[in-house]
Amino acid sequence: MKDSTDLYIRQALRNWTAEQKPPENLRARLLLIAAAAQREQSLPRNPERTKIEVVIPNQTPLEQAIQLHHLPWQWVTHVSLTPLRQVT
Amino acid sequence: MTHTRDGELILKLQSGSLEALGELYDQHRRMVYRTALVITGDTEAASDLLQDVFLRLFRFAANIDSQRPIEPWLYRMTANLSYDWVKRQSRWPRPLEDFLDWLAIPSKNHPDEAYEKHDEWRELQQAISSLPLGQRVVIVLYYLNDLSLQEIADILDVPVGTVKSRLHYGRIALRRKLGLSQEMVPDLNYEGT
Repeated sequence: MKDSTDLYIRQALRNWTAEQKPPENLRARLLLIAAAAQREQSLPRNPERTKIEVVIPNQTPLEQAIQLHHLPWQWVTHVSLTPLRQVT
Repeated sequence: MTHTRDGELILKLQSGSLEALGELYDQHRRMVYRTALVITGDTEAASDLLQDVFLRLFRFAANIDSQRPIEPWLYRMTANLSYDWVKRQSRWPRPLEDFLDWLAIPSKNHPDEAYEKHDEWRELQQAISSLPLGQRVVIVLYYLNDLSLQEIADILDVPVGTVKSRLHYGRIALRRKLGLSQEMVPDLNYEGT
């Protein structure tokens, strides 16, 4: 499989890439990013959240229905008042 | 010897050693950078990919077998990330201003003065960039990194026959694009480091 084309391609690629080097500051940047990622991983996720704070509301079906019923009204009020706020 | 040293560094890396990351970077940065550079043809992309490869090495160190050579992992990651970069570039066309800049300053897309110095490189780079991505990656791994067909097949996770086929058609395309014949090949006597 080795012929003059192989030799030419191989030599041209090597000649050119031999002169190419990555930027000098890349090593420092890499280590900084890796250190930052390491610090982030070592921190507990959402440290302030505990089991006690995760409270699932124990709503009755009636309360849920009222809540759902009120949501569109809140939305309509908000939307309808927005232009007034902009005018004033 | 190097393999054993890399194994020790991987073990240190698994325990979070930044020094080990720095040492592995020093040992393998040129190989990763050159591979990414020839596949992408873009120095900025090659730098970004070099950083990305070593960040992934750091992140996924726990999954790497310290008893085996690290080079195939690095080649695989470099080839995959370069592959993704080229595909993204071809999917999103350059904005008009970028394109005009590119026309006005042709050397911007090529690293430093080497652009003027090596016409044969410019031609070769254009020829390599015009190859289908699969052939391009095989050509780079075979010619630049001196890997065997089996090693390339293992890295790319394809059968050896596929590697042979891509290499064969890649060579034919390069020969045609570079105007080479088996009898008439430009003389390249100077030796790279």
